[in-house]
Amino acid sequence: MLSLSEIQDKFQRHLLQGDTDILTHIVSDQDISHIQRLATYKHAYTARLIEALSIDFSSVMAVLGEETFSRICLDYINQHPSTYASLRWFGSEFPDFIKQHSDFREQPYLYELAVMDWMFINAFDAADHNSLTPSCMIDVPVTSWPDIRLLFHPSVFYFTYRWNIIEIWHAIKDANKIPSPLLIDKPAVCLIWRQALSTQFRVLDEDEAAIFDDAVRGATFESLCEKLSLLTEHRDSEPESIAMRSAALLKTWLEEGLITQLDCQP
Amino acid sequence: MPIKNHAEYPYLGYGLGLRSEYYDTILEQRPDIDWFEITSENYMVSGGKSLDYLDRIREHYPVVMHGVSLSIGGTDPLDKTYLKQLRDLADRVKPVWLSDHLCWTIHAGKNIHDLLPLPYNSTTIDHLVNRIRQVQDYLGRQILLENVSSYLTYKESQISEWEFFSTVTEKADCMMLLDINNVYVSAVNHHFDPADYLHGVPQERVQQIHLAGHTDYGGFIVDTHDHPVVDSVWTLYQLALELYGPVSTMIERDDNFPPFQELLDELDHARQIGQVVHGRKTCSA
Repeated sequence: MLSLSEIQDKFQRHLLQGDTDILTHIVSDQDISHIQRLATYKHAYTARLIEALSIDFSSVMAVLGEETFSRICLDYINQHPSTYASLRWFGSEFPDFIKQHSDFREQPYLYELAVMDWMFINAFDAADHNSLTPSCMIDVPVTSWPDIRLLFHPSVFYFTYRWNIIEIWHAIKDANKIPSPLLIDKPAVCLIWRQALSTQFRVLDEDEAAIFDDAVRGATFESLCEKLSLLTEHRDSEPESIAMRSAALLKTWLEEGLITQLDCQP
Repeated sequence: MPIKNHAEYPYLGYGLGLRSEYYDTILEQRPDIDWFEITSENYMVSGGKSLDYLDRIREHYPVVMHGVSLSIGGTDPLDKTYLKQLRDLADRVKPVWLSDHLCWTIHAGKNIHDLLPLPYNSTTIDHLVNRIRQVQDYLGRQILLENVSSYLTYKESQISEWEFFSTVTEKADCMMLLDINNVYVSAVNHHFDPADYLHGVPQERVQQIHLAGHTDYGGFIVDTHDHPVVDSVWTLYQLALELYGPVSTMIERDDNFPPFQELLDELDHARQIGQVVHGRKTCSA
């Protein structure tokens, strides 16, 4: 008689690897064979995980079609069995898996689309935090501005993309014909976040994209202004004009609920 | 009629599984539902819409928590991270009670995300009792465990499922969440009389009842929770109420979501059976 642990080991190896050792420990009868009985669990295992991935990566599925997507999901399930208590996290490695999958090495836009899908999920249930409003700018003493560091809302995610994935994403959501993948003129940055309870996204302006990562990583306001001034589009601008552009960007971020704190500590 | 006297847990009446598809309808219409059951793992997140809706719904309805990843029958050590998340969520939600399933879901660190059957024998009973006590000690409360639908029997099983279930709950001093649909599904799949099951469990342990639909493949039933409750399950439900007295009852729907009114109608049907059996309206929260 097998121990409980041995039963679970053999059962799991059947579900994950197709191992058949467990078969001889399942009661069979004339109505339904032990093979059919086990198949119910095998089917449920893969169906449940594919369903979770199809919800989390709905854009990728829309592009690939259900059949191809399911086949890729099976590869993922085989290589990345869930170690998570909740299905919420099962897709964590899926974007990287798509990136490295031999079928998609020539289609890097699929990775970008998967990243976008996953960031929407992460922004959706990121930690709650009160955001500041533009009126808080009045309270900052003029002499403090150079040392100000911005703290961003936990739901703020962003990534650089090189393909027309925003166009593709819109086509999918609007149920229009999905455009062919194309490289865009220059890499751009997509920002995804949650404002109140609603998930938002937009493409950053070019100069905004150049300083956004620094801002999130805690650069001072002065260093952000300095970096802006070095950009081609601002190279010939007066310092006042750079300061105004920086302030305008900060006001936008505050209006969008991206900022939770203006840290004045030097 | 048996009289229940649970000092710790009240009788809640007639409830529904809380699903995101119905959040707005519930808040807008405040339907005549006595309580809701949440799937614990769906709310083990840092923030956002789900927790916000739950907080608002909790203002108007009692809530119980129902987990799927405790893996109480597993042989890996109990997952302390998961248990802490569960306790943290319970601190926030303040559920009337908390339940999971009499099954295993995780082995060697890998989660199958399914409610897998256990062999029904004394070794498994001892294993479960030890782990249930650990969980109850950690959470500081009695838990409920639910019978799962099963599609196979191990040759290592030596007693009936209801004898196994009863012994585990008695020895571990936990409560039963009796899923009447699961009893029916397993009865058809394993060729036993579901009435024997209902007669075979201790009435004083039955704290909650689940009712749900399934998919019948002709002599073999899969517990899909995507159809209305069938007549055979309603009949068994009536027998359960006759045997156990009033038990907090809910409809569990997890897929193929109908208009909300259809679930309310199903719940009303359960209420009517309760009134027929007990001769009075049993609860309004």
